[in-house]
Amino acid sequence: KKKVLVMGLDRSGKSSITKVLFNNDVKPKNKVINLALYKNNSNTSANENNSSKVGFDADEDDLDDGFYNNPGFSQFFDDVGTIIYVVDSTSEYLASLANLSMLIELAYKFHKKVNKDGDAFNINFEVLIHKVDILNEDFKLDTQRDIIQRIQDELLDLGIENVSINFYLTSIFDYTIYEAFSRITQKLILELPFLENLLDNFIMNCHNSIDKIFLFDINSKIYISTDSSPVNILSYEVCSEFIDVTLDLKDLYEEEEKQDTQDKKSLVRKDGLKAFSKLNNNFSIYLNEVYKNLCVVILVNNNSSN
Amino acid sequence: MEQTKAKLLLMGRSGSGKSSMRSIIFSNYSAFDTRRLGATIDIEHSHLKFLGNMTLNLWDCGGQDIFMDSYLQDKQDGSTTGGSGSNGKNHIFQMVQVLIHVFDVESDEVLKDIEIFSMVLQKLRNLSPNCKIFVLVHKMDLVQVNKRENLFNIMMSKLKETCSMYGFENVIGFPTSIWDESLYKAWSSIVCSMIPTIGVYREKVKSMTEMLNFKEFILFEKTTFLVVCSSLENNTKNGSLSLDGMDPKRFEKISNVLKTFKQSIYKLKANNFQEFQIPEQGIYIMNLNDNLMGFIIINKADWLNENLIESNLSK
Repeated sequence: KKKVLVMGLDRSGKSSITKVLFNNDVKPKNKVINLALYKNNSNTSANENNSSKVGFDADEDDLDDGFYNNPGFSQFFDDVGTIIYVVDSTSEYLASLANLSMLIELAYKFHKKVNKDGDAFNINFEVLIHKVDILNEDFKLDTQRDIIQRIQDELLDLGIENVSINFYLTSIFDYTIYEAFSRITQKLILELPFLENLLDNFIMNCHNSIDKIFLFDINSKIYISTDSSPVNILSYEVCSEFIDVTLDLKDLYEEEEKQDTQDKKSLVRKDGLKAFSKLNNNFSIYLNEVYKNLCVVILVNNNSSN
Repeated sequence: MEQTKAKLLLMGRSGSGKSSMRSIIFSNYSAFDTRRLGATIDIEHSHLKFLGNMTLNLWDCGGQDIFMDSYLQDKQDGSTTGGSGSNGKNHIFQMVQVLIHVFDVESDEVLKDIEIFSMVLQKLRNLSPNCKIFVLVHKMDLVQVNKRENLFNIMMSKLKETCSMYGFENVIGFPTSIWDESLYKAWSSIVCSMIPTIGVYREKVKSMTEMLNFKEFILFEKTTFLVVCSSLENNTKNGSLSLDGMDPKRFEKISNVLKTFKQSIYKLKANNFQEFQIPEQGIYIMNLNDNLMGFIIINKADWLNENLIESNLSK
């Protein structure tokens, strides 16, 4: 089990992100977000143990000035695999970046102190350049370039090398946030190459009729793994929406089961979820639950019968 | 089968959401997309094919006061008074089968809304006395959940009163919102009330259900996903449905979900799907013909479904 910290300044959208991803909130409407923003102010560092297949903890913290002087702070970096830092791209982000570089520096120092024999610095930093739905296309890229440049300059000044930092443009109003979290999560899975290999082999055995295969966590709709062909975000969206549709339809008719007995419901669950749909452009989508909350979604090109 | 043409008037004050509704139901817009829509100028006609042989002639009437006045004024003169009004305007209230009047719950001038409604009714009484009246109390999502029912009831009693003044007794009202499935419920009932052969469909659905031991069989129109009829429909009205424990809102919800799915698969350049199955739940959705889609819940999951599909298609 590894710890994932979700950090960022006030109102950068941290809670909204975790809510959207792991609490299966309804599609983000403006009102819902406002609510999340208010909640942000309650400075809780409660460990949200989301039941995602990876099983990581997300700590959320508003980084007050006094925060770093907290005596418990050094424990804070224990077992941390990844720090997700959320930068609000719509407001002035310089403060946010200063905060981030301070954080990286602290993490680095902490690491030096603990591992004297000098293992590689192994905390991943994932920077979400968030709320980009408000920016227009050109400005998005400018912002991204600017942020990356500033961070790298900062690290150079501090003399820290070999830090892995990745940058993502995200927004909770589309699939970019899922995509980013999928990539981040995948880095935490040690068996990833094995899984990918498995999926590749699976495709090979199906005589190339499979267009794309995703391994999904049903609850969060993060994809744990996919085959080695490049991901087209559209096909990811379709697959993820396919899960939604399946669950919605299933729920409509599941209530009767619930009324009969509770046992019956668990029986139904055991069967696993299966769905299939044929589109009128020679594509089909298959969904099959393989293990608790884990399902494969396959896009098939119907030229060969299968 | 004979061609049927039906004329629908979609009216209401400006900004009440008339064009948004039309775009969602008939043009595959999502609720978000409707923000792009501007004001409707005068009248927008659309001819919508429904179930193959039925054409809905939807007149989406712009709701600004200036347009409203012109609709009502032109009619006042009765006969065409040279040039000023286009031909269409003078025929607005003739041969109307259905009036759909939309009320904005957030409106500041409820009395004026009702006044216009009654003026429209007056026209209709003179020119299309057999017209069916539907009122949609729209934008319900802006009202708190616990106040919705109360508000709707107050509104409806007022509107019913207005209608009976003009001799229209059977007014049907719906609370609607573009952000949930209530929109589909309203439009399904509106459109179904105009299908002349609805009885035939009902009978077929019934007999199919009995023959093949379905739990439920719902018939959808293919492009709009409006519910045409269902094998358990009548039970719903008697309220006995609560006994078998099914969600009374399931028709609209299914419409909503399937429509979303349809929009989603546009991304793969598919304009519709042919089949959808969730075997464990016994859910099968399939094309029946060019215009219809069947939604079938079977009783036993281990039923041989291949036979079902074939026998369905033979129908």
